[in-house]
Amino acid sequence: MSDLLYLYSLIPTNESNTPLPSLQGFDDKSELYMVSIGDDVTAIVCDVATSEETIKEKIDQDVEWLQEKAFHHHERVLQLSKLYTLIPLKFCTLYKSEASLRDTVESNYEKLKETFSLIEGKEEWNVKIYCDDEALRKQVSENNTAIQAKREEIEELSPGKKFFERKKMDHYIDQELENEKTSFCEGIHDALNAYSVLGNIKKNWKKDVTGRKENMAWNSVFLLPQHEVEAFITKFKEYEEKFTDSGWQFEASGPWPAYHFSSFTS
Amino acid sequence: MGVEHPVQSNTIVDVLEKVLDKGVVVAGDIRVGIADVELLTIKIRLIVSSVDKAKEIGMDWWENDPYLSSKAADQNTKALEEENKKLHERLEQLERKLESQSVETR
Repeated sequence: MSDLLYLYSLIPTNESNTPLPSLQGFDDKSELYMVSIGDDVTAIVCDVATSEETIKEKIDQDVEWLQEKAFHHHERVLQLSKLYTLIPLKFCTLYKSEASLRDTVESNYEKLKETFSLIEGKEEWNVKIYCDDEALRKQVSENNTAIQAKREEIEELSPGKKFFERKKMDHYIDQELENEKTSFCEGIHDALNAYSVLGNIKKNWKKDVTGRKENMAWNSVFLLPQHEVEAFITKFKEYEEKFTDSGWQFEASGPWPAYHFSSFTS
Repeated sequence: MGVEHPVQSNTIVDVLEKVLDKGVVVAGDIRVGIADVELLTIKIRLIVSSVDKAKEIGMDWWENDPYLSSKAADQNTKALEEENKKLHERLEQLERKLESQSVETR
């Protein structure tokens, strides 16, 4: 069993004079420390007394271990992000030696420096919009004049035709519902995006992932300059107050380490 | 609802998505692949948020789930895929069951 090097974050070296607090590492014995690489980049790492095989085995087979360690990773990165401009690394980014870490960082040096200047003085925020589909479907079905007209037409038809036309109508309402959801959320996204330097739309998670009753209608992430955060939240709360009664639920979380805005491929 | 900070418990899903799936900046020497972040998130969310509650209602099936047990023997991808599928189905069934239970108790 040989030691591996666990990389949590990369920070600009000019911020590394802020001392690193004493933080326990990936296992009980290790502590976090800094390794400066070249003039501009400093890595925050810890030693892990384990082997590649053990780590892989744990990840594949021990969900509780994975949960504990994933949260450890998050906690450390979050703590560090309060002290430094920081590029967060993915869970379990491990190196076999310090030389190997140096090589990898050096071969990405320019991209890392660009990322530092992108994320400096900014915060990552998430916005999710959930929707009570049933309530909204009812509203769409009742308030859409095209649907009302079509419904009256159907009533005039023979029973056989009625059946098929109603099916088509249900399908049409579903489509209208989806359109309504998308345009509503897009409007909010665009308004909030005005405060950010970068905004990304992410995949909506299914209910079994979120554990909620409502469907996720929108999931997006913003990189906000710190001086815009307050205005962003005020705007968000305005929407929340305005639309919560009509079947929408809003959730914003942050500030996160800039996970989404520092993920260039090496 | 409202504005939350990343330490609160209902941001579990966010944390997992970010640390397991994002933040890919530089490749490590050791590549740890997490095949299905969504499925893993479901499992972890269940463990973190509702161990006690789940036990109360007999939903502690993961204790007997070979995929979740550290003692499990190595399994090939196909078996895992099959199991993923079954787990998805099972979760859906459980959620339906839970929903109908909560309707009954109202």
